[in-house]
Amino acid sequence: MKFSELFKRIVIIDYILIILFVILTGILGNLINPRQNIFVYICLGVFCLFIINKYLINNKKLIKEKNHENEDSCDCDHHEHNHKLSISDVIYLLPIVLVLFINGGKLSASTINNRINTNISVSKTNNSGSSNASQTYYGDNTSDFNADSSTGIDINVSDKNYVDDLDEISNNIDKYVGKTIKVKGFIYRKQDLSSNQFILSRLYMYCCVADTQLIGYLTNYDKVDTLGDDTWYEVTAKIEKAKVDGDTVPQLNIVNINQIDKPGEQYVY
Amino acid sequence: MYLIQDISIMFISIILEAFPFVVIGVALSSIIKEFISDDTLQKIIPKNPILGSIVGVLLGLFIPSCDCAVIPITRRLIKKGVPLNAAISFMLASPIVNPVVIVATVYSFSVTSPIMIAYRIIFGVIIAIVVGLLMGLLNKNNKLIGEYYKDDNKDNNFKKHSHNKIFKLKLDNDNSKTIDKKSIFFKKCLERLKNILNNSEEEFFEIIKYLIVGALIAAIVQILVPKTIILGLNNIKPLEILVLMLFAYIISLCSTSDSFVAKTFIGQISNSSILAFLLLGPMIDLKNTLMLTKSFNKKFTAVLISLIFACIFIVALVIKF
Repeated sequence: MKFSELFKRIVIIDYILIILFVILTGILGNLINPRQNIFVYICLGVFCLFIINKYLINNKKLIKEKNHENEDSCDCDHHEHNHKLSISDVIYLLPIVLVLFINGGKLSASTINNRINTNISVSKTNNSGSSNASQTYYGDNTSDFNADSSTGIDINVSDKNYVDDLDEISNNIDKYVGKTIKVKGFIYRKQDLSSNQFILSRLYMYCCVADTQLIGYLTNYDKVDTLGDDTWYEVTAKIEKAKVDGDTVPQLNIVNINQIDKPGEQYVY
Repeated sequence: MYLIQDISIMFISIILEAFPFVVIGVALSSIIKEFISDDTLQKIIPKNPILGSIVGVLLGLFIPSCDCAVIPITRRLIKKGVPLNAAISFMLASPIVNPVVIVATVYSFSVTSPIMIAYRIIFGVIIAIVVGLLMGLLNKNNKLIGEYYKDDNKDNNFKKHSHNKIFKLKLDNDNSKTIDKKSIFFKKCLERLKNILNNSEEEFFEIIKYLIVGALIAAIVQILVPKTIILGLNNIKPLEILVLMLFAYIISLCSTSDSFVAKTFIGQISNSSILAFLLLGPMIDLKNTLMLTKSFNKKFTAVLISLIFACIFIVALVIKF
């Protein structure tokens, strides 16, 4: 086997290892939306086929193998067997080098703050003028919200339903004003909010890290200064209406707030 | 240190998102190579350039592919003798008319700005056809595509004294030795699978080097350049459109997810600029440019990108909504 062929095998095995590494360590969820996992598995399968193709199928006495002499004797240059390695081929190994640095796959706080600025108005990602469209999506059923009557909480927002719940509440504020909500998030203070407001936010990933955005609830709390940046809280609050840049958005008025540990899953999907 | 970490995360994320689609792209390309003859493909595409481009766009509906997968397929179509204009129209339109992308766009804009969905699809198709035709005109006598055309000849050459023939002869011999037909059929399938895998792998290696470099640059820009820069320029419309186009070009988002990023701009920048962002991203971006220079040549790529930028810029300037 030519060295360049061997190099290709090594590269493919590298990529297989990278994919297995992120799957087995659970980092994959921090890198792409789980909805797309299937494509990664397909990719892994094809890479394995590449390897099997070279090692196993080759060994079977295939007709083509018998013809190898013929192949060598033909002088056209579409066969890539003579492909020589160049220095730029080091690029192929870049992913395996960089994967060593990803350290759990969680973006640092400063990068997150950098990205946040795209979303000047938090609820704007989900804000809309009419509620007609969303009605058809969500219906009229509030039992989706894990209501817990024993503790007086009407809406208990889980990670799984975070985006849907935020959409639903933002689009139908009137329906939810006065309801009690329990939700987790980290603190983001936006410059143009008033001094006792912040955004109880989450990172939302649609496809991969490149399109992550900050979404969250506008929150009102008179002791904002006591809360730490990049710290996670679980908030119990009453939903109210507020105006931001002329748009009506839901605002949480805090009843109870507890600091919690940073959750394992950084994103909501 | 955290910078390296964040860039690595961004890079690996983009790679993991793009690799599967590149793999699907090269696999489709190899399957086309193995199963569809040049004649059949050339028969499907009408000789008339305008009709050819329209069929190219329609092919985009039937071979749904995102902007990573579309390049190997386009290469294959051109090598198979599909007219350049039809292939280019296919390449530009496919990531926009792709059903998955349309669903994502509808989901993003159905409430806030439904007209955006229509504009994205309509102008996406028109620009794909126009750029395809212009590229076809500029490529008279294969001036533009140059070396690549030689490559094409080589491919035809290869067809003429193809190993398949040798293979067939051998098969006939085997037949005379009364080997049962089942095992021959099995061997033939295995042979085809092997051809497809070999060819996929070869194309995969040709392309990903450029994808890796593109993803790395995109990751560095994403982490280091704060996005507030984009929002600072909203007084001068042409400049804003240009900046948004450049932004779409550099960040190299997948065409299925760019509408979700575009959605966050609503109300902050003009709708025309958002439309420019939505049109340019699927058609061309940094990681695709590097793949294109490998697949075609620098001159071809430069002309193509200039045409795309010019067309989208004009559309965004003229359309007011």
